[in-house]
Amino acid sequence: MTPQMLMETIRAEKVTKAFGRTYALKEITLTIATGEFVGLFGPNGAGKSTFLRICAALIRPTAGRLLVRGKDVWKNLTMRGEIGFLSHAIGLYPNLTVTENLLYFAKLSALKDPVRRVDEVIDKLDMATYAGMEVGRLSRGWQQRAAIARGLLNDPQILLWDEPFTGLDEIATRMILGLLDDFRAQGRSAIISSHDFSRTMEVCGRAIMIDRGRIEYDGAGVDVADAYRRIMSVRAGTSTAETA
Amino acid sequence: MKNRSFIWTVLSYSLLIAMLIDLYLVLLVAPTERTMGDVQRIFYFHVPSAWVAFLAFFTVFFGSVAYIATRNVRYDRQAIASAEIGVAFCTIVLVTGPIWARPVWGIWWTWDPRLTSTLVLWLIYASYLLLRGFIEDPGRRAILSAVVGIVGFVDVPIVYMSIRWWRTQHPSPVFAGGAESGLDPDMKIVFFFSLAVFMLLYAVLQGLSIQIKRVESDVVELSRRAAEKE
Amino acid sequence: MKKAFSQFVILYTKDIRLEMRSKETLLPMFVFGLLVLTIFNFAFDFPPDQIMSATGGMLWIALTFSMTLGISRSFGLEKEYGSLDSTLLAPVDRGLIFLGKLLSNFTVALIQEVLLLPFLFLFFNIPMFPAFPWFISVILLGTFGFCAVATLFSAVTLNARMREVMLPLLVFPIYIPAVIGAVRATTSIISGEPLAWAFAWIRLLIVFDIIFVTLAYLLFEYVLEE
Repeated sequence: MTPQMLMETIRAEKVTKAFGRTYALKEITLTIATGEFVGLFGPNGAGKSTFLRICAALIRPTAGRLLVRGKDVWKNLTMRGEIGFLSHAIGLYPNLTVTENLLYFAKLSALKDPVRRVDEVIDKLDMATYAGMEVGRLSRGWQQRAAIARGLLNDPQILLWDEPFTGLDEIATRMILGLLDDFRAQGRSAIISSHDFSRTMEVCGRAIMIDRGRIEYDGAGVDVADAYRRIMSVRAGTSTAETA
Repeated sequence: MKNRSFIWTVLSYSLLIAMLIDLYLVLLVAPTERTMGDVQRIFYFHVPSAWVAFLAFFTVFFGSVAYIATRNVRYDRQAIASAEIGVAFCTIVLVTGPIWARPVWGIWWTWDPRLTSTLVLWLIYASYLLLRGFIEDPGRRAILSAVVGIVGFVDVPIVYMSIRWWRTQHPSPVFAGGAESGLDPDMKIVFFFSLAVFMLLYAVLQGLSIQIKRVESDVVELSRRAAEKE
Repeated sequence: MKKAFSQFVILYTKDIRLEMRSKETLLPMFVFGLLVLTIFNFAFDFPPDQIMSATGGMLWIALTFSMTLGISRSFGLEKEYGSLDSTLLAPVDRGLIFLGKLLSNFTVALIQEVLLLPFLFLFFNIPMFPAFPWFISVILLGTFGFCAVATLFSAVTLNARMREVMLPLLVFPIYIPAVIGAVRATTSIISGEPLAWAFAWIRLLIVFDIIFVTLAYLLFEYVLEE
């Protein structure tokens, strides 16, 4: 492994995904350095979720390749242990309790001392009172916390988070921002897809905007909201039916 | 490109001529079978169709394995083209079989091992084609149907063996002297000519079908690009 | 190897725990199986001396139909809440996910059979026969093979339109050799024919099971990728 490989966490080389008659992603090339926090923006259907799912090795790209720490995740099963992925789905079994769910995923990932790790994560998310309840009976907010607990379980080096701030109140948002701050302080990397520029850029040092599967903006993020408005006005010009 | 279409024109016309010769040989040259009479001439279409169907299903298997190994869409096109042709020829076998059976055995259908196996083959590959129609995403359609193409083909010999054992326990009408046994030399020549013509027909259909599929996916690719520029 | 085995156990116990808690698969399967047996009674009003030769067929139609009903939900439930994705995110061999699901489907199918078989004997007045252990082994082998094929195809059809329709369309043609073997063996054992006849079919079932479990295990990683 060369030093350069250690520096970079994710490298996408001309990653393309075609779904039916459209491209979800078209030749995306980018590298994300270790320790970098990236905000991923773009209108609905721009390909944000697809990109995150490709990074998490849930979707195989139609063309191009994606390396995590210099390795192809499809060829190195163990690389999955370094990735934490949180989608908008809860990702847990509604008929199992929070603890049962977390223990299942901890053991499946072959973590050392799964029971202790589950306790740690439950403490971290401050949900000890709800740990014995079935996930399906929890309120939406607590379900989301349980989902986050699952994502943090394997203590990932890279966190991929699809829309963390959607439908959250101020307290929960502060908690998530706090979690992300801790995470960044430990020198780890993250890609956070979002519609919320100001909150996301509180923790991210880099912003990437994609639209129709292509990178439209990649920079420090101060002018990302302008770039977004520009895209949306171009869209509004071509199709009146579009609502953002 | 021009050269290629020239080859296809030549191939198609020589196929047409060969098919006319085949018709002539089968209907007028081949000797009339002593016990079955003229109806036996259907044998020259029935049996080669079965061979084509089987070869086509083998191609589906080959294409499926090759697609999984290489992820090259070429092999997916090969598999789907052959599945369609195979089901078509399998249908011919299932239609000509009863037409032949009725005057000879007095029944349209009998659950004899070969007929039954052919029916099961037809069912396996008909559902393969149905599945393809129900998956929108081309990449996923290719990989999932490759899995079905492999599982289906591995099942074929097991189907054939099990149906044969099943029949031996339940005596079926005795077919005095199967058609292939002790063929007259003239019949043999006509049969092999017919077989060659059917194989050529398969090759031409396969090639044309693959070309159509290639054009189809080019159209999809172009409409993707068009959607981007919009 | 040890790690793989423990992951397999974790996958399996999770499925069983879920099923024991909801019984969403077991109960519909059992009731449907019972329903099929009842309808057979109306469809074929056999005189008592002929019933033996039809039992194998009736049993396997009831079993395969009800198993299709149960297994068609096995991955659908996991997909609903995105928990299948979470399982796939773990560094676990995809073949193990298949084996875990296969064994949990097999377990549920066996419980259903324990409930259903007494009704077969009761409804059709079948007397006890000496070769009962062999009868059980036919049931086990036939069920296992069916679960293997159906579990694979329930994952194949997971992302297809009309998946409830496509599952039986894919499973039954492939299962035909095994259904021949299972029906023949069952009938021959129940009617007290020489055991050697049944043995030939039992061998066929063993071969079928080995081939399709191996094949599905190897192919499963391609089925689950998006």
